[in-house]
Amino acid sequence: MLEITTNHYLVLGFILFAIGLVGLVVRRNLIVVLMSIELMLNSVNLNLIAFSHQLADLAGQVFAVFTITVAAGEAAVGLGILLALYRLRGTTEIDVPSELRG
Amino acid sequence: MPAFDLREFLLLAPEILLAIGGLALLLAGSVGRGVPGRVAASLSLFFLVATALLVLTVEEVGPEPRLILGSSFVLDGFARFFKLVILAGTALTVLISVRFVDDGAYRAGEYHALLLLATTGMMFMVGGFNLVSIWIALELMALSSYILAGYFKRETRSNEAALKYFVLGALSSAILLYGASLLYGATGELRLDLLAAALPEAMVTGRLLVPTGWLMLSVGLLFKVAAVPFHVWTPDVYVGAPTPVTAYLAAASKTASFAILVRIFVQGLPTLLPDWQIVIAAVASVTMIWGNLAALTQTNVKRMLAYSSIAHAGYVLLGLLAASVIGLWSVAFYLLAYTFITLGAFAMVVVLERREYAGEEVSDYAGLARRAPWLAAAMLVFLLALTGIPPTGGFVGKVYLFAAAVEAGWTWVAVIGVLTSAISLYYYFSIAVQMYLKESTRDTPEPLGSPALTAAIATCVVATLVLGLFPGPFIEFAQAAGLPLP
Amino acid sequence: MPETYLPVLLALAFALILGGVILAASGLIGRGSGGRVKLSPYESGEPLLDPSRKRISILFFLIAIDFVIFDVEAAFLYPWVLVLREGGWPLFWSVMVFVALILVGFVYIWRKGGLDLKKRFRTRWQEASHG
Repeated sequence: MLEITTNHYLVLGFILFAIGLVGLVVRRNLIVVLMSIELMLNSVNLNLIAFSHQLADLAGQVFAVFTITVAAGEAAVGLGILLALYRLRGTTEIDVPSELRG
Repeated sequence: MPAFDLREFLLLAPEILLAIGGLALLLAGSVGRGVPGRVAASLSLFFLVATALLVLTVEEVGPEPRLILGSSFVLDGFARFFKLVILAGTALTVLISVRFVDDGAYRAGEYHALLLLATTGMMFMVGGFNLVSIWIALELMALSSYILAGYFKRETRSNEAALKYFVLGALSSAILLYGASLLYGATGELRLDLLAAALPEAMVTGRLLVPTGWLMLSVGLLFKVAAVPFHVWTPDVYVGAPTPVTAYLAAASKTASFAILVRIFVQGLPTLLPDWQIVIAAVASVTMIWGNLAALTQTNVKRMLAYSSIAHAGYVLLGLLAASVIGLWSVAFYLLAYTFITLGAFAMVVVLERREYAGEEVSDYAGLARRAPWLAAAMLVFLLALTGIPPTGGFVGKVYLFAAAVEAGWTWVAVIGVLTSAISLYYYFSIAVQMYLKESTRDTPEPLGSPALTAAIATCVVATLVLGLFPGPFIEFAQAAGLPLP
Repeated sequence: MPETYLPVLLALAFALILGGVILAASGLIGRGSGGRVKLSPYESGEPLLDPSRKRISILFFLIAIDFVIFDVEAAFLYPWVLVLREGGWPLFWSVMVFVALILVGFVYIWRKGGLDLKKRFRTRWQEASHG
């Protein structure tokens, strides 16, 4: 029977983070981008809780609860911006006609 | 559970007052047609001044830093200095916002509420002594700024600015947080001083965690201060956001981000000093070179100032690179001077700006010296200061930053700084040439001032000149903001 | 010292490769499966009654935003209840301040008409049709 160690959680967290990162960079739909951001923040939560368990220290879990809250706030602001975008352009795709070019 | 004393909340009275101010404006803004622009601006100024007074009286700073609320926050000279700089920057932002608020197209109550809440976040940031509290405060600032950047919600450009700022800001927060989680895993500490103490051992045991952790943390922080190569969001966000918001992001937001960058590196990661110095040296050089070169080709003043603000982030990094006493206080002094200079320059953009973002081109400044000699003179002062020419605060600040870098043995980076400053002369003075040597045409926008705007510009000019001519007391003030060095 | 950072480089490379592999895999494997029937939305084997991509009122998003915020804030109350006795009055009042802050947000939404769905739906509709 395979024993699940902290390292397993870290690798899982890292993979989730990488998927979120790639999704954020590659996908153009703002809803998918929002989901990618949530994925990245959740991978951090996984890390924090795994470490918290390993170190027998509650601070990590407290940090994770705060992260969840901020992630919710971030999602709300993101959805708000999305709504404004939708009202203005009728789409949630990011790079449809853009007036600003890097 | 570490018991804390409720009375310690009294020491946070300035932040609490500012938060109450923000919430009160928010509630007032929700009634009927909202708060009239002037009332909202006056209230917001009142809260900012009251908060500054409270910082000066309540947060008494002894020689030793005082940790409060389970060491989530620290009261020291560093925090106090940056809190005052941030409050001054926000107050000037309120003044230059008055006209756009007068237009009445967008609600004033919520605008000022968001401004005050973002400032509350910044004050908690610079006083944070724990990765959790710093991060929460950073997010309070960031979330409010995303909304502020998109405040002109019926303008496509503002909306796109908010979008870009949000996506890249969230990305940088996530990276920063991932780095913080790894450092926590390696050391088991979130408090900066305990983290620093646990690092040497953790570098042996958690081999992969520490390097990955601090690198990702730095990437997140460098994103926030807009250093190359993490600056891609800056030009678009600065151009698209309403100009007063741009000024706020360039001055207050950047100052607060630099403050936590310095605090985390100096107090949290002293063990890694040689490692992060290499990273900062590389980032600082690339930032100075790219920021100035990219600014050369810009014809839009807001975009030019955006690249200029990137370049200035590079200069400020020189002080951190030196990691010496003089380096740290010159960072503080430069950020103080930069706040006034950059807010003044953006206030000038507001003076010439019209709806639909007209009046932002360099050519719109043609003949300004004839039509409005005082405004042209003020702009000249800001341009001199941005380039770093005496007798301005920009000059004094730059001299100390370069001197600190040279003293610490980073001469080649300082040389890059001097050379790129010379390059910057070209694009800053393209504006001066337009103002003094070109004639205005029929299409040139008339400067449109207001008492509040004039007050803001006058304050910035006076501050820039005083910092240049009589820097003594301000240098002492900045020296009190020193952090204990490793 | 440079070798300290070799693992970081490896991790970065791994992240990039992983991303590339996932994208490539979905591109390669996904391509083969065509067909109109396969791409049609699945509704328990029944033919669709109406288009699955119909526009959903923006109102649902607004409700979602409000919900997300209040839902998550409630998460703080569970650990609070567990340690309330140990923490005593300071803990009690700290969380009361927190609840008061949420109430401010609630009052704001209320005043702005965010809870008045019928009225809100009508005004949104008018706004949308005006562009």
